[in-house]
Amino acid sequence: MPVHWKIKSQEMKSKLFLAAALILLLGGFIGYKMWNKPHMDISAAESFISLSAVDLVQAFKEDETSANTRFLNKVITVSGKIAAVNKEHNQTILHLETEDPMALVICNLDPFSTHEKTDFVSGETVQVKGVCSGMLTDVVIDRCVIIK
Amino acid sequence: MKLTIISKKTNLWLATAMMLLMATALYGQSATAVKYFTRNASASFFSEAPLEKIEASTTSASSVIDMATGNVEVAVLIKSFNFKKALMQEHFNENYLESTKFPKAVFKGRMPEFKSINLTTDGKHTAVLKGDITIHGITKPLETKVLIRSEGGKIFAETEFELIVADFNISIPSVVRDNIAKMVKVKLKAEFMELKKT
Repeated sequence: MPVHWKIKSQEMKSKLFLAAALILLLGGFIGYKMWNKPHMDISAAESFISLSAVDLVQAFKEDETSANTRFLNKVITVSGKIAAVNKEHNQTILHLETEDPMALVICNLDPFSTHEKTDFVSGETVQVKGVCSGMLTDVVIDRCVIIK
Repeated sequence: MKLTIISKKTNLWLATAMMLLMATALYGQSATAVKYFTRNASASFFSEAPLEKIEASTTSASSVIDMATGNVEVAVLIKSFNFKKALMQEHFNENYLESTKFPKAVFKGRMPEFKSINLTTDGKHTAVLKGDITIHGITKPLETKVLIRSEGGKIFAETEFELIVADFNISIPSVVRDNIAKMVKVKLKAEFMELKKT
């Protein structure tokens, strides 16, 4: 085997090694990024529908299954009057009034966002954006941010 | 003759008094036959496996306790569970719990001792809760001890139990099976209010 051949194959080897290392690094980086994928930025997310707390509860009461297909896991904007403010478990929870005192709209303020406003009073009218989680006795909206 | 009249009168008095007593007793009973409820109970679960710790919580679980019967109901929305990692939350909802198909987890059961617990004075009590839990469309029996604390007119309840993932027809791909614990520890914590009928 001529000498220069050997050199060439050695060069090839180191190039191959470098390429493999790069691919591995890139793969690792992408994997790491995917693994640490951030939560959806709710303030930047587009709202799918805007409606009142009264209408939202009404829709769930009329037909829960169809309301689930319409709203579940979707970003929605809900407006209503605050019936109660609850600050439990380090979280701010707003209860929005509807026609039925037993079926409210519960808005859990997003734990992953910083909120300009965290103090609310009953009777205040608010508009919030969040992800609809469904209905138990009340319709629950999670990851809420205040629009106004 | 006079005597008998008197005794008849006293009898009448006695009868009225008895009836009044019974009425107040009955009324008293119906007054204690209240329901307690919460819509802001916290539910969390935790599991530890060699590679990853899985932890998620929600504060919008709802629960109703009927004092008269000792019946207990707890419901939680699967989608309302918050994870630290968005990817985990996505997999939990889409692949494992299929929360679009099964949006709720529900527990229905009874706490027979609840009736005999005096909640009007401050104190701590434990009661056995027995019933059925439905997750991912599968219903399994569940028995757990509940810590009940009454304090200043408020009622707090707390319980902890373990669930076996495989019991609920939750299929975990073999690639990640070893990374996900087979047992999940569930914690519930609630502050109850008296339910006022309007």
